Amino acid sequence: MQTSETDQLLGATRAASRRTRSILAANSFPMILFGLLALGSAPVVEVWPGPAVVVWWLVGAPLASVATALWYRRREMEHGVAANAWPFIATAIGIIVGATALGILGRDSALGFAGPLFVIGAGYLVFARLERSVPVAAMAIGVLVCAIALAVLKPAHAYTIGVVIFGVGSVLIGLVSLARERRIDG
Amino acid sequence: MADESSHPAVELDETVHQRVRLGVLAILVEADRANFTYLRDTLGVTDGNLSAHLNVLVNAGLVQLDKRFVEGRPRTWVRATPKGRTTFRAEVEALDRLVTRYRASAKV
Repeated sequence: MQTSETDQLLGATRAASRRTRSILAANSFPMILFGLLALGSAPVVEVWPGPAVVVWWLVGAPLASVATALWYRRREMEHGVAANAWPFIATAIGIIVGATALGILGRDSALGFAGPLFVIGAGYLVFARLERSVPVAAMAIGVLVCAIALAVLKPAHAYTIGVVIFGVGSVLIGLVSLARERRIDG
Repeated sequence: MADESSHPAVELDETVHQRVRLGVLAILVEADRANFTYLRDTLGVTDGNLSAHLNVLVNAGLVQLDKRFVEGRPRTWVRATPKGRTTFRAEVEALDRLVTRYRASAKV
């Protein structure tokens, strides 16, 4: 076989891989939804300090997870290509269980607001690795740094500061992803 | 497996060394599964052409077919087997080595 043919074969193979990877990298819906869920929890904490925010997440996170699973299922049917869902499901369960447990166990201490944020940052780092997404990795590192800073500085309204940083970052990345998905979907 | 001094062309796999079959494996290594329509449209081939290439890959144990009805219509989903993933990676490495070797010799 001629080397130019080999080059073409490699080029065509990489193009097929790239197209598939870009379809599978779609994450606008969960990024925007969980970002809004986080932003929505800020007024809950400010208006009703106490267990209301735990209820918010215990109800909101599973509902948002089910909606996300349905969204990915619809994309799979539309495009005819799908990723292995189990690593994503395991990571999402880890985030929900870990963040809720630390939030309850660390009540009235730095662990209560910085712990869940740290778990979310670590979880998003796993998502970033699974999706090979640089923006999600950058946001995850930002959330981890923010969690550590809040634990050290213990400012007033620490929970609100943390979820606003996470929520705004998540919504912004979701909007950028949405624009890219619309371009790919034509 | 060929030794390091052998020409990279010796390592090419005749089953996989074809545009459509290599494309099918490239997609299935990225994704967990893809359906027949996605593979056909992405690779720009006809139904009959893709079917023939999928048969070759199935017979070589490189992919698995899963036929099911979705909303009353038949759908064929395709997955790479572990052997298919390994074979694909080895093929791409051999192709890369072949191109690198050619370019290096062309510079001399």
